[in-house]
Amino acid sequence: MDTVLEIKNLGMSYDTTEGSVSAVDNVSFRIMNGEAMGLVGESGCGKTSLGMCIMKLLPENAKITNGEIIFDGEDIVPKTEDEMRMIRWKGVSMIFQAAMNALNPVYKVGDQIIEAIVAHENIKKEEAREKVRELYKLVGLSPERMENYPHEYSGGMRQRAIIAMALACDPKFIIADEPTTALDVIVQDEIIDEIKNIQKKLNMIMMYISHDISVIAETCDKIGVMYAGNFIEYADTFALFDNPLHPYTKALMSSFPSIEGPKKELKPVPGEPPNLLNPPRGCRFYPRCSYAEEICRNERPEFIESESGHFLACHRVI
Amino acid sequence: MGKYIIGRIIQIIITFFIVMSIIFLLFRIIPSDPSSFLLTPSMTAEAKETIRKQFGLDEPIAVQYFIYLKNFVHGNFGTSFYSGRPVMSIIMERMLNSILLITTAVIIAYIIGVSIGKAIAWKRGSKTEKFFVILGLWFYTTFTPWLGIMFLWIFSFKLKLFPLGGMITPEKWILDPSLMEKICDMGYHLILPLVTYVLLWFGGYMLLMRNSMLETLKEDYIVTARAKGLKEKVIKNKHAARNAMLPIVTAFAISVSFSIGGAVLIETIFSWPGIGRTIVEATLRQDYPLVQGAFAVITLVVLLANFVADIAYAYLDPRISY
Repeated sequence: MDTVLEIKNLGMSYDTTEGSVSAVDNVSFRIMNGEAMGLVGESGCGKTSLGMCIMKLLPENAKITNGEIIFDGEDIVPKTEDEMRMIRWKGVSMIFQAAMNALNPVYKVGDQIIEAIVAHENIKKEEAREKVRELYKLVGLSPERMENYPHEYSGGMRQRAIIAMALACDPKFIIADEPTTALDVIVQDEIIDEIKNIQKKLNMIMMYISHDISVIAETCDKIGVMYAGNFIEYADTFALFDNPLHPYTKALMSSFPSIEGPKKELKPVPGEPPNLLNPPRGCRFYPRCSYAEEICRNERPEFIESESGHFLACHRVI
Repeated sequence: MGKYIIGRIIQIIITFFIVMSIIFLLFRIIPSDPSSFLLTPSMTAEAKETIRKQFGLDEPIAVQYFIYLKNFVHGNFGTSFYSGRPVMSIIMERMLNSILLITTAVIIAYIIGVSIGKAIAWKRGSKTEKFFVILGLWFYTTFTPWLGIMFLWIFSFKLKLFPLGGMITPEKWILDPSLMEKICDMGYHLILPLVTYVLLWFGGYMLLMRNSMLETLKEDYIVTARAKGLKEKVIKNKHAARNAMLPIVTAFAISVSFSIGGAVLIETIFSWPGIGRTIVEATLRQDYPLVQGAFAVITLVVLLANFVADIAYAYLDPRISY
């Protein structure tokens, strides 16, 4: 299998009035052809920032400080805005959260999707319209709905339209940023199935960002766990669930209920994530870790392959 | 929609009558007799009484009020105490003059202000932005008569580029010039007050548009537009500006309606025979019918413009329906 996306030692920081916040630090991983990768972590751990780095859609006060993002054989970090414009949506597209104002309220939804197609492909508006009609069917929306405005859609429909929009230019890679977070569980389930089916059917690679590890387990082949801007564990979904190695991953798993297993009391992860203005010198999880030792305080653990295909950043491989 | 329009029209009628009643009361509160302007000490008591009767000033206030309302309903605004001409014809003539100067200026100020506001919001933090914000604020807060007089002093008195005031050069018009010459002469008189007004007002629109645009640029759909790989110009004009314009349209409708009522200060300084100046003169002369008529027309225009803005809003923003 070919590597489609490879990220090497990526670092990104926000300049704030109080100093520089390193939201993504020393992140490395790769996604192979046809794979879906899940990115899980608490709020503010840098999941979305990482996604935005790959699109290079960063706010003005943010910058990529080091590392490479090799997409389709090319490093996109040094690329200019104009070059990025060609990659966006055609190479990498994004499924936004419908609860956000991701659709412009004053234009018809269909037209907003057509706009994306016309911006990238050399085709007529009518052909684009036909394509959107097909996409609507693919995501389970009636094509007549193209003529409606975003506020005339329900939350679930809006999310489907956003998925259709993400597929508009046949992208190689899709980043799904919490696409089901604001939906009720039934709609959530439908949307997850939809995304999973489309991803397999169109053979795209996907990065699925969520704070909900159970959703990720359902959709993804591999899981990356992020904590305070670091990748701490990255493995095959089954390997990770069968044998979580990092103390944070373990803690995260016991904080979610399991439907099939025996009833257990949920254990929240104690403490709070560190302030990234001044992160701990050693392991960033050290202050909350029940296995912490002296070395964890002083030395940053390397992100290394501990078993075949199972990457980990922990001094104590437990 | 139909129900909303009917409701709004009833609301406009009620508001109009309240305003008319306030105007009526205002002029009766002023502690002097309007007839004193028409009467001279040499008149006989009989002649005085005839004149008072002629204008209806001998009736009790309540009766005057009902006559006043009745006449308005019939579209009868009476005759000017001062000139003896029908109020309506004076107002129409002056209003056209005001529209020529003030409405034109408002539209130009709006176009300039909105375009600059849009551009500087996009280039937030740049030197250009700072320059225009300071410039706009400076003109916006400048005392109108001061700027007007400075311009007259520099451009008309010192440099002799423009006339000192008025709307036409009467000496030329007596010779019955061609239409083209008439237009040129008016344009020549128009430029200085027009430029003054535009400079004083573009800053307001500019800052309003800049703020609205900055708010819009924070919206998620702007990120979507960028993620879709659209061109900067498309993101700025189609996605950001279209939404940022929504609140500015209302401001525009209201400004245009007020501009039809003229601008007292500008028209006075540049001796422009518009409706703003007419109101000042008529008030000083206690010319009740003329002031009442002018206020009535301005009130009606403002109410209708707000109504039009509300309806336009529903067309511009698909989320709004009545």
